[in-house]
Amino acid sequence: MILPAGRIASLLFVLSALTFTVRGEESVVGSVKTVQGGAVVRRGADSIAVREGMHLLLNDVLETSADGRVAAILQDGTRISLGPNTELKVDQFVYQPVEGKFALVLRLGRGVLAYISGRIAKFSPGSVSVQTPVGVLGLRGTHFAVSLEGS
Amino acid sequence: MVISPKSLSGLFTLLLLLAIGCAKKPAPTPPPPAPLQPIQNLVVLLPDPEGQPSAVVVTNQAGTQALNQPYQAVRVERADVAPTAPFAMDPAEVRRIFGTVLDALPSAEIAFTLHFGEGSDVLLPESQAQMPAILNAIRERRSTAISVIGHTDTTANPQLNYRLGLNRAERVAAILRAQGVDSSSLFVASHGDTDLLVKTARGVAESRNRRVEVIVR
Repeated sequence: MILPAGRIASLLFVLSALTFTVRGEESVVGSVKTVQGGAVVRRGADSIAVREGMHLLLNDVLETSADGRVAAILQDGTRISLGPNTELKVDQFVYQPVEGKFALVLRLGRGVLAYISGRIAKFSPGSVSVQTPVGVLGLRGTHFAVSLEGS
Repeated sequence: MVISPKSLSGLFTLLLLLAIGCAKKPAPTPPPPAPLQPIQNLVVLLPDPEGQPSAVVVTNQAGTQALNQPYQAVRVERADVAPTAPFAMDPAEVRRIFGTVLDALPSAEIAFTLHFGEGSDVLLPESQAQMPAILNAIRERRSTAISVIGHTDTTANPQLNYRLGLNRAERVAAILRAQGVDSSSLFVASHGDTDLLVKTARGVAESRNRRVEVIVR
């Protein structure tokens, strides 16, 4: 089938437009729902006190002190809760359902994490993992995926 | 990949708990007696909130173990020591160790679907009537992350549909802003006709596809 050149160009335009959201949704990976005690976000060279409602960005490292607790929800609906003396980095977050691109890698350096998976795990269980110093925790879904992809 | 309200309500969910201590190396001198050490390097699979089967695989350089029953757990001493065989934990014990962290888990996101007339970015009356419930959910959750995603049916071409979807989403976002929702909390996007709720051929007017999804987190 031969399409007129103009049709192809407009289709390409639309596809490229779709990879961008209107505001930088890609850079925001989640938001803090609750915080207690001492908790900071390490973002590059900055260390920012965690407050309720703050947006989390890719590569943020959440750190709680001995009396600290943080709970957050990611943009795909993943829910996390961190206990005291915990360090968690959002290492990879890709949620692009239209393009079929999914990845979620959390890096738990120390501490306690409770986790309920969201839509990334629903659509692509093999793309979700929690890395820890003693091993990798991978989701296994109801169907197989290439588990090494994107990790 | 279609994100539909149906798929939103049937989320694959997995609840997993782990407590990771510093990787303990054999100490040169005996450590001081510790009366109640926290349980270290423990991974527990918990019941899926929606009763779906779920599993987690724990892998390190020395081995791998799968947890596929609620309240199954493994311990992992070090990266170069294989995870233990899965063992059953008493739910009360899990609760005792992790109760506070579990109780702090946020509520699940909530999704609303609003509908529009053909080629229009004006909310249908019954969808307009849903706005108070959406605002309520935003306030109740003190949400700062609300996705507003516009969709169309396939009557127009993809480029126009992208813009129409965006206009629909912007209209809904404007209503929310007018009610005091901060702009920085709104994530507005269009999926045009690429994410049909009801699959149709090109050029089909389908009211269920003319929609804006509002996801409140």
